[in-house]
Order: sequence, then structure tokens, then C-alpha cells
Amino acid sequence: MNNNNTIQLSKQDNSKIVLSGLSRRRRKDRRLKLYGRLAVATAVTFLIFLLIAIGSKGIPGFFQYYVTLEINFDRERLDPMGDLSVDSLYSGESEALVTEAIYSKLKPQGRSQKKAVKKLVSKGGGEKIRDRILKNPKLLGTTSKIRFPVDDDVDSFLRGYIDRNVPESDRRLNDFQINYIDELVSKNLISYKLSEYFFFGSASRDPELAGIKGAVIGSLMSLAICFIISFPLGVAAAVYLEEIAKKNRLTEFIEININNLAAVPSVVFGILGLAVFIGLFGLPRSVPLVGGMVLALMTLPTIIISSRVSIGAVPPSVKDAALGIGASKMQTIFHHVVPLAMPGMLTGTIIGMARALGETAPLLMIGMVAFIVDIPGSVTDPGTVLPVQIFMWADFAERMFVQKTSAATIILLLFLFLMNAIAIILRKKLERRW
Amino acid sequence: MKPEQTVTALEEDLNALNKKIEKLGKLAIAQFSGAIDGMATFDTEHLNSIISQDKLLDDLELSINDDAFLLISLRAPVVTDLRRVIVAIKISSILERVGDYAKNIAKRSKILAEQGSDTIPGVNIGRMGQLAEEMLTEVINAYLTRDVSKAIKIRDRDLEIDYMYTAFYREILTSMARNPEQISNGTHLLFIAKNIERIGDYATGIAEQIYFLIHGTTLEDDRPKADPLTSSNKET
Amino acid sequence: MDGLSKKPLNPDSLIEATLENPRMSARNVDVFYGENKAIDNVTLDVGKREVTSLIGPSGCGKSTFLRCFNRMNDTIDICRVKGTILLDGNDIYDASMDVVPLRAKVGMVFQKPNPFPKSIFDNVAYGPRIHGLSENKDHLRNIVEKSLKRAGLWSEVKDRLHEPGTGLSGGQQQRLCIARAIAVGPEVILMDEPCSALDPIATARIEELISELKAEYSIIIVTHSMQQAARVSQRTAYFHLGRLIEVGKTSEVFTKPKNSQTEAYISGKIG
Repeated sequence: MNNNNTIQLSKQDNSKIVLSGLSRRRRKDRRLKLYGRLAVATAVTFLIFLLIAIGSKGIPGFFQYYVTLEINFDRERLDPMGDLSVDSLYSGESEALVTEAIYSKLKPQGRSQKKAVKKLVSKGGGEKIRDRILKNPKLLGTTSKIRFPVDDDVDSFLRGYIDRNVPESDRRLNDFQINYIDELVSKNLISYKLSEYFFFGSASRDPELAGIKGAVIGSLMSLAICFIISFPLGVAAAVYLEEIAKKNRLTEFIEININNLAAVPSVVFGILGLAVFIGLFGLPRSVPLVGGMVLALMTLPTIIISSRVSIGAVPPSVKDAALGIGASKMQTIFHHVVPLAMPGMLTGTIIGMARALGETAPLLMIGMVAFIVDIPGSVTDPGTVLPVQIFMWADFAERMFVQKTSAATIILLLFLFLMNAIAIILRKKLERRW
Repeated sequence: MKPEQTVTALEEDLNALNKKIEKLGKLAIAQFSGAIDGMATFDTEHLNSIISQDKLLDDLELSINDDAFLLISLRAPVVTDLRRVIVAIKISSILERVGDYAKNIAKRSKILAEQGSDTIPGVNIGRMGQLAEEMLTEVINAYLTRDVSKAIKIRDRDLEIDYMYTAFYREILTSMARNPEQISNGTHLLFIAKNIERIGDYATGIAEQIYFLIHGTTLEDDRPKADPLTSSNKET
Repeated sequence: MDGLSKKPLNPDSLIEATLENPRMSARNVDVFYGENKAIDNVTLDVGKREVTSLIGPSGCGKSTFLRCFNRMNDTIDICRVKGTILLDGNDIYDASMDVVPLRAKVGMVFQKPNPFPKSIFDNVAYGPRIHGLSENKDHLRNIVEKSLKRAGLWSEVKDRLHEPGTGLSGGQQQRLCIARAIAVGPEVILMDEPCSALDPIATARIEELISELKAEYSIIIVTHSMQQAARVSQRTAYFHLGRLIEVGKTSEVFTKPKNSQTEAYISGKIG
């Protein structure tokens, strides 16, 4: 079959052409691979830098300095009313005992020296004594060694942020204080331990006493409310839109709007919450209930979209099989479609939750900036959330707050990481082959 | 079949089979025709070649059978195509027997030639042979052109051969009774006549196969018969 | 060349469309997909205790027509069915007819085996459960065992009833789907190319099963394979471009089809 008018390539010509172009193609391949690897390496490098930066700033925030003092748990002075009630303890002399303890160690002379020494221990010392007594009343009448947090300036000094060579007027600690500190150090009374205040304390103006417990509980409450509202609503909406509603202009319109809502800046939801939940419905400001509701509004579009995709991914053969055996539409949806779509729906929900966990702007709008000392007992008690707490701490100048801010950021990142990991594990476990 | 369709493998095989039947048909006609001529001319050489050529027909029939078997195994023909194959097998078998009878006629003619006989007066076996030859030629033609009406007409002409055979049968018997020395020749002649009559029957058989090929049903078997065993005038 | 008598589409080829005592009857059925007419004025009866096969080239509408018998076309929004389909004398497309019990009476087996992602036991038990067919656990177990036995699968799975149905081989899965359909006690079983996704040995087993099942059920099978239709059915209906061209006893349709188009399809010259 020879066609005389066109150039017919013989098999050998073809092979030669392919071979000659081969080295060029290989080189291109290699270059492309190199670019890819460089990009990944750059990203990984930046990631490592970021982690090191956060880590180096934040990890010290998990620790703080303590001074060990001997406290004489004088029964009459600490529990004047004798009934171990909170009132009694508060009217006692816990703070004085702390001061006496440190005076006995350092023996200051004169008013200015005494003032200097008193400032070395945190004001929260008395509270610690009261807590100890409440936990273990047998301490009354004994003398025990207790570790007290040092004042935040002392802590900063011990970490090396306050330079003793700087002129005294420019320093936060005077020379007396520095000498006393040196003395305490030489007597081995200073220790550097994991900070119980960071993990179990709540908001405080004193950096050495400030902790994230209140914020964490507020976050968990808000997330819980968010989940309770958005998950059922989102799943039901997705089921309705995907399986039940007729496909017409109205449903298309709804779908476009939901997709757009997912891209709306979160602060807008905060404004909405402020105007409607707080203004119109009169709900209290700064409570996890309202915070959760606002977060729910924000998360709903994400859940609806991911649920719709999961439902759409259920193969029609399963629905055919169910309908063919005489299952009603509802039975088909709830016995077959939803269980098969559940892994995807849960994954989408958890990812939505993770995003909600880190949200600050909308919660600021509804006023969760209040300085809340008490840990919220219910969803209608005032509270704050972790990202807002971090935001507030970032405002404060004290060195220790800076460290705690980074430390809290690490905690937040760990939570996000944990939630994403749960999403992945859940999806792997629940995945069913069909 | 649409004009732009290419010929399928099945069609090719069926056409090849058809060609072989055509060839076998022509061979059978030639053998029979040659045998009838030889019967008249007593040309011994000619008769010998007829006898030896029968092998060609036998081999051709076997090859047609093989081809048909292969066709059914590999192509799985259905409906009309299947009928084509089945009919081909049956017709080739019939044609091979026609050839056998032609060989038999030639053999007996040879014997008659060696015995230097005259033909029995009064009966023209040649005429019967010619008629049968015409039937055979026409029926094979009808097969190749798939002409059913022609095939049905041929079936009716078999009646003529049957009458001729019956007449001839009576004549020879009478002659043998009168001239006992003619019994040997007479017997051969009888056999020859019978063979020719059978060939007429075979042509009819082929005609019935053609009907089956086209219509898918068998032609009713109430065709007119007039062989001496069933005829109402019996003579001893 | 062959001198075949070419007959036009004559009413003779549809004479056998109606039966004396049918299980189901379709009368003047039209099916539309939007503006597209997929089935054109088809009248066809389905006999009791026999297998009726629907054959024809791809796209001729046989699957669409099959799905009319259990109203599975309802699930497709743009699909409209006109005409009457009677089951035991009642029009299944009547407004008062509930689709749920209909589908228990007219079961379906699909082209690609589609067991539920549940255990083998739960697959078969699902139908009886939702229709309330079993009184207690033992009764249910009984139903499951009987159905699996009738589908020829019991001996292979009786020791692993709680393993997932999707873990079985293709042929076993299809038999499981048949057991599932049988478990709700249907009168009619619709099969849409049930063997096209299976290997020849699994196919042969399913065909044997169909031959056994016809003693109890009326079966309508859509098939691409004419050999399968010839092996398995007693009655054959040939469709082309949405119209019913010829209906008759399988033995006759495959040896002496009345319509030249039918013969051309069966001989493989069209389609």
C-alpha cells in the first residue's frame, strides 16, 4: 500500500526521530523534577523556620520561675473563723504569711529594702496558700515548703531579659532587688518548673498568674454550641438540597448563595450576630452561647458544601438497589445514602470546626474581649475563647505576656493539628468500600 | 445488505461453500451425461474414465463436509445462514450418490458392451437418461440462482421419468420372459433404468432442499409418485 | 443475492404480543425523556412462570421499557411514561398505586451487581425488614436462608453470613442480589443484563438459576446476547429504535423470524 504523494515514514525513521528527541525530553523532565523539589524544600524550610520561631518563643512560656519558701500554716491566722470556709480563709492573713516567709529568708532592713523584697514574690502567693489549705486542711498547724511564683520582673530578669549593667533608673528592678535575687539563687531557692498557672490559671493582669484555662473552656463551649447547631442543620440542608428538592432555578440560586457564603469574611457574621442575636434577640454579650451561634453561621456553608459533595459521591447503584427493593425515598436516604456519605460529612464538619476554633474577628464583634477572670460555668456565663485571649495578651507589654502569647499560640496550633488528625483518622476508619 | 458494507467472513465462507457445490454439481452432471453417452456408444475407454473419475466427486463431497463443519464451529450461523450450510451438506451428499449411480451405469454399460448386446428394442433408455439429465441440470441451476418456482416444477417432471421407468420395467420383464438368454442383459438394463430413475428422484430431493433453503419449511410430501410397487396396474 | 423474501413490518410479527392469561400487560406504552421519544406505542404481555427476553441493538429502549414495569423510571425527573401497565389487573401507573409495595411485588436485578455495603445476612434481610414481612428473628433467619438457597448461594456463604456482601466475587454478588430480590416474595423479577459484568462461568450459573426460578416467578430479562436469550427464555421480544418489531416463541423467533429486520439482527448483520 504505497501512497506516492505523501511522505511515508518507515519504521526505522520513526525510531530515529524518537531517539533524537529523547535526551531533550529527559533533560526537561529532570529540570521539572528539580523545580518541584526546590519548591517543596523551600516550603519545608519556611515551615521549619516558623516552627522554630514559634517554638523558641513559646516553649519557655510553658515554664516559669518559682521561689521556695517555708510557710508556717498558723491555724488562727489563716482560718480565723475556724470553719475552713472561703470567707474565713479570705479574711485570714495568707498574704502576710508569704511576706513573712520571704523576709525571714532575706532579712531586709529598712523600708525600702523591705519593699524591694516584698515585690520579689508574686501577689498570687496568698491565693496559693488558700488553695492548698482547701485541698488539704491537714496542712494547718504544720510548717511546709511551698513553691511560689516569682514576680514577672524577676522572672524576666532570671531569663536574662533585664540587663544588670544598664543604669538603675532604666531598669525595672533596682540594685537591691538584684542582689536579693542573687542571694536566693545562691541559696538554691529558685527553681524553673512547668507553669501550673499557664495551664490552669485564667485571665489575670499579672503575667505570672495568667493562664489559658478559662479561654480553653470558653473555646470548647463555643465549639460545642457551634457543632450542635451547625451539624444537624448542615446535614439536613445538604440532604434536602441534594436528594429531595427538585432541580430548578430556585435550588440553583440557593446553591450559588451557599457557595458565596463560604467565602464571606468571618467578621461579617460577627456583625450579624451583634445586630440580630444581641441587638434583636437581646441575648447577653460575650457568652459562649452567642459565640457558638455566630460560629455556627460561619461554619454552616462549609458543612453544607462538603456534605453535598459526599452525598453526591454515593454511587447511584446503591440508591437504585434500595429503591428497587421497595425502600421509600426517606428510607433510601437515611438507611443507605447518609451512612455512606457520613465519613465525608464528618471530615468536612471537623475541618469547619477547626477553622471556627481559630476565629477571632467575629467573636470580637460580639464582645468576647471582656476580661473574664472566672471560668465560665455554663454557656450563658461570660467567657472568652483562646484566639481572643491570645489577641488580648498580645497587647500587653510585659515580657512574660509575650512568652505566654507564643505559648498559647502553640496550644492553639496543637488543637488545630489534633482536630485535623482526628478528621483524617475518622475518614480512614469509616471509609467503606462499595 | 447495504452496498457500503464489506463482506463478512461468514459471507465469504458461505460463498466458497456455494462454489464447491456448484463444482460438485457440474461434475455430477458431467459424469451422468458421460455415462448415458457411453451407454449408447459403448465406448469402453470413455466408460473407464467415467468410472475412475468418480473419486473426484467423493473427495469433493468430503471437503464440503469438512468446510461445513468448520463453518458451523467457527461462525455459529443462525437462521437463513444456518439453512444454507445444512442444505449444502445435504445436496453434496445427494450429488455424490448421483455420481455413484453414474459410475454404476457406466460399469454395467461396459459389461453390456463386452457382451456385445443390442439394446432391447422398443425402449429408449437414452430418452429417459436425457430427461433425467435435464432435470439434474435444471435443478442445479435452480439452486445456484435460488429459483424456487423452477425447483417446484422440476419436482413434477419426476412423474414422467417414473412413467417411463414403469413402462420400461414391464417391457424388459416381458422380453426376458420370452427370451431367457436375454435375462442377463435384461437385468443390467433394469438396473441401469432403476439408477436413472433414482437420479430423477435425487433431483427432486435437491429441489426440496431448495424449497427448505428459501422458505424454512419442508415441501409437503404428497408429490405424485408412479413407481411400479404402488401403481394400481400390477402385472405379473 | 439470497433471494430471501423481504417482508415489511407486518402485524403478523406482533400477533403474539398479547397472551391469554398474562402476569403483566403493557398497553400502548410511550416513554419520553424530555422531548425525546424513547419507547413508541409498545403493547406486550408477560406470561406467568416463564422467561421473556427483550433483545435489540444498543439504544433501542429495552432497558427503558423494562424499568417501566417497576416504575424505576420515576426516579428520573425528565422521564414521562404514558399508557397502561397492568399487574394482576391494576394499572401500576394509577395515581392511587403506591410505588413501595409495587417494587416488592416486582423485583429488579441490575447490570452491575450492587449489594448493599452491609453483611450478607443484612443484605437479604433488609427487604423483609422494611416491609415488615418477618414476625421474629427466627422467621427472618428462615427467610434469609430460604432466599439464599433458592439463589444457589447458601452453601457458599452459610458460614460467613456476617461478612460484608461486597467481599464476594462478581457472580456471587449477583446471586446475592437475586436472593435479596427473592426475599420479599415478588411475583415478577426484572433483570437488566444481569450477566454482562460477569465471566462465562458465572454467567452460566446465573442462567441455570434463571431456568430454575421460572418455575415460581415471571421473569423479564434484557440481554445483549442473543445466545443467552435463546438459551434462557421461552418468549422473545425484539426492539428497534423504541418500537417493538417482533414477539414470539423463542424457538420460532430464532429459527423463522417473521420480520426481516429481526432476522438481520439475529444474524448479526445489524446492531
